[in-house]
Amino acid sequence: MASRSPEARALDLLEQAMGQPSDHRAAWISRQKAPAAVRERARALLDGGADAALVFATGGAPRKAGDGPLPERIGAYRITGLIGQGGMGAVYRGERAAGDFEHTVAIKVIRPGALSGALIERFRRERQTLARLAHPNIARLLDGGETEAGEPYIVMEFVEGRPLETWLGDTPGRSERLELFLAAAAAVAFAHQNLVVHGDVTPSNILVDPDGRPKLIDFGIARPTTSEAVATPAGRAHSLTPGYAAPERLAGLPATTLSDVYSLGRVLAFLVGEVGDPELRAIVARATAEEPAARYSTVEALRADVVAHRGGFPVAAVGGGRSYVFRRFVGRHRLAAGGAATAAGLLLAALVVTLVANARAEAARADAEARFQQTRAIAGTMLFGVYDEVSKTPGATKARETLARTGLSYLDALAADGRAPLDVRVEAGRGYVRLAQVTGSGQGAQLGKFADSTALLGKAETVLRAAYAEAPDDPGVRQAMGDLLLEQAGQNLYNNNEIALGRKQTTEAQAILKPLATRDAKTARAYATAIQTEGDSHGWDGDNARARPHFLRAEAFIAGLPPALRDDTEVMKARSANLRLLAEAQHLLEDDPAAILAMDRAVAINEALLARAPGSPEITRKLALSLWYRAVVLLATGRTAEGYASVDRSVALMRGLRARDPEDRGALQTFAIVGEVRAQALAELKRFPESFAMGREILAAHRQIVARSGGSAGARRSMAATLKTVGGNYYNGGAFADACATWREARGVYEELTRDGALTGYDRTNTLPELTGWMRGGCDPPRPGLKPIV
Amino acid sequence: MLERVRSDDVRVLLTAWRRGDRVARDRLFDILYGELTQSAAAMLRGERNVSLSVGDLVHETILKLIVLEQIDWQDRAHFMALTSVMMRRALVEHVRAKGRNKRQHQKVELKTNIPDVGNADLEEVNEALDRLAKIDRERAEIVEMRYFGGMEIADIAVVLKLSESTVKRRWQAARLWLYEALQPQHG
Repeated sequence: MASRSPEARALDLLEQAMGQPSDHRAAWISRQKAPAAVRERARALLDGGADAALVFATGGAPRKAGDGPLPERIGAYRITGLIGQGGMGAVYRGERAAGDFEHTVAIKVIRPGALSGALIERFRRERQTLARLAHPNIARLLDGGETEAGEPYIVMEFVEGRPLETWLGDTPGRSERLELFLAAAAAVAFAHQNLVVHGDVTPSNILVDPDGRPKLIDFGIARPTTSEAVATPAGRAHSLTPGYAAPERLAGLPATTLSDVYSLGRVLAFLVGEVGDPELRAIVARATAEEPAARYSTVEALRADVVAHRGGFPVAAVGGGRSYVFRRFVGRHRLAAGGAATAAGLLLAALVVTLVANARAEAARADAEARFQQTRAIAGTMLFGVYDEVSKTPGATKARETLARTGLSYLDALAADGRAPLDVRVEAGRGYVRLAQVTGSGQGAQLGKFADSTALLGKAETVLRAAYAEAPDDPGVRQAMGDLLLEQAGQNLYNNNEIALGRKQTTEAQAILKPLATRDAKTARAYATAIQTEGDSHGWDGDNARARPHFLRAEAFIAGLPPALRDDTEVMKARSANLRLLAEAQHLLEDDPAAILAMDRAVAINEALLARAPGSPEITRKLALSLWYRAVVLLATGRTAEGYASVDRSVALMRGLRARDPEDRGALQTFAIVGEVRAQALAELKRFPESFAMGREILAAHRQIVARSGGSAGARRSMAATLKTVGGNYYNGGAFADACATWREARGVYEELTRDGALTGYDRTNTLPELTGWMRGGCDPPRPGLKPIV
Repeated sequence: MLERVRSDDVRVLLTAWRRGDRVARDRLFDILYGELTQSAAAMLRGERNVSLSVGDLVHETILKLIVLEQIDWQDRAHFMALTSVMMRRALVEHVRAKGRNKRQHQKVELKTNIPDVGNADLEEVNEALDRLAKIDRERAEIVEMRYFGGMEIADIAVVLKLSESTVKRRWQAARLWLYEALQPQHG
């Protein structure tokens, strides 16, 4: 060791330090017995290398080495050159002949393996968001897709421009610089209004075109989410241009509108020089305040101050002291004020007061506007972006709950503002509907709190009815209204047992959605679902003959859609659900061949969907349900072995889902449903011990569901039906005492439902009489004698 | 290319290398290098499946050798180490060849969270690694195996007859050193 060079010894020391917890390493090195130079060198290596792990990734060398030859074409574009390349991919110059002029574009291709699957998905979605951002100061996103090799790419407007740094080399005048800043900031503000945060506003991301106009480039493309960001020992996030990224970003928090404000503040400083005018310094200081809350609350507010400064008006950043405002006034009217200073004293004072008052009103208005935009952005991102993202992860129930709660406070703030424009109120209404879905109507992955979601839908109705009355022909309003009615109908049918009310809502939803029905996949799906739900309102009431035509109508509607709509994932999901209900009606109306046909189709659709999204909890559940119902029909037609195989696979799928997220009520409920049929199939195959065990498992699941739903009628009704079935299995297996105890419990639940006025027609005319009949024939005391129960 | 290699040669050289004979390693390298450069060049030209990773490439080469009964499965780690050295050379040669006939591009950074250290290119990494080898040969070899060869810590540990935790710490330290060595102020 003694013969090793100081550099090698520093490496030895550094290596030993790696055995320490990461936050103790520096101190550990300082404590070691080694020459000071060796220790200092080891410390320097440790402190400087926050990004080393990213730069030297395992097997990372080829990424640095390789670029292929120029591709000939990407999408519809002929490649004419390489603009540049970096670790993540390359930027090409492409051309496309359109009419008689050549259209030049910049095409970014992400190198395979440079992004994880989740990031590629995000890249695709951001591409869609960005395509809507049409602004003269934003490099327009024109197109996107995937190369044949599967590399995602985007096609951007080709900006013939220079980076801001180079432009400053021409020494533009002060007003030109401010003008340029205001235009760039307007582009960022525009993006914010469209719920897009830039995330990396820097001088090199602002190009100046030959006419001196700024263009923002690199809008949030492939900007990883925080979950992907790697926390480093030094706490520094990556790729953020030093000096331009807000402190909270460096601490690893996601980009927000306020971090863009910070970056713009830095860009302003860059443009006007750090030691400029005291007023500009104040503006920069406010924009770049350490604490996000102390900054301008929007880019617009920052711009307003720069405009005020340019025009010689008081700026908010300075704080509006009287003498300051007065100075500004004199400065602006220097020529006029000079001669008449004393004579005009009174008039001046009056003017100052007016100016101050105006500034205050202006500030208040800007603040309200700012808060409003902020709220809207946050609510939108939270409920539509983040929530969906989180929902894809099994086991994230707690996170979803937190998001939902936070989202509500923002929505209330939005809805409370009666002067808000129509689209904003509609947005708030949609937000409530969304939140209601999240907290537990519908059948998706939810938190199982029916009561909360009913109240939320009520809030949505208040907001949206008013909007609909005001603008009945607005498609956005119609769509939001249709979605609300569907959600309410679903909740009334499935959770609240308000069947007549639910049905009324489905017919109203159909009428509202019909003019939009074939406009896009979303509206097609909503319309089909409205028809289906009307059918289901009859089915839920035991009237299959009335239900069937609606299901057939929905199936015919979807089957007749153009392929682009028909094969849309969401439409396929709706179709599968409707096929399942159609099969149920066919089966109950004793047309089993038609029922099996419908279920085969539904299973095939869900297999195709699962192939599109392997492992997805939602699709897994749908596939499990279609397998389950196919089993039901097969069992009923005596094809017991096939039926058992189908339902056994279904139960296995649901067991897997439950294990992944024990708190997911949807998974629990589906497990209970499919498990019940497996228990029956086992009983039919005379595998009674297995059947009884399955029965106990699903009853435990039902008790959990009832408890979690706060004792809702729908949940109790499901449990009663299961008790009845499980009792039948006991009876068929010769366990008469167990059978009678289970039936007694079922009858108790039905009696409770009757007292609450929540017994359905079907239960009154079919279920309950059958149950009491069995109990008369086989219980008190428990005894054999009934025909096998099916 | 592989078919022409006499398996006896490979076995003898491999045994010698496992005893610690670095000359034997270099001889093995010469014998097998041609095979790998062909595969690597093909991969980089995009003739093969573009998603093929270095690991895949190395494993494929090794599998070929195993199939040809030239090496035993337990020699796998050693061969991976060998192919890491090959990979390094192949990539650097590729980059050099490319540099000879490329037009001057502006280097641009796509927005990512993954920085290119001062846009250091592979040749600079290669030179820095040579400097590291002068200070500490074994650490440079670890970088070669891990960064160029995509090898797992456990396999590197077999080759170097070290514990996995030692290899891991040594890799982390070497990585920090290289990172610092590639900062722009070092030219």
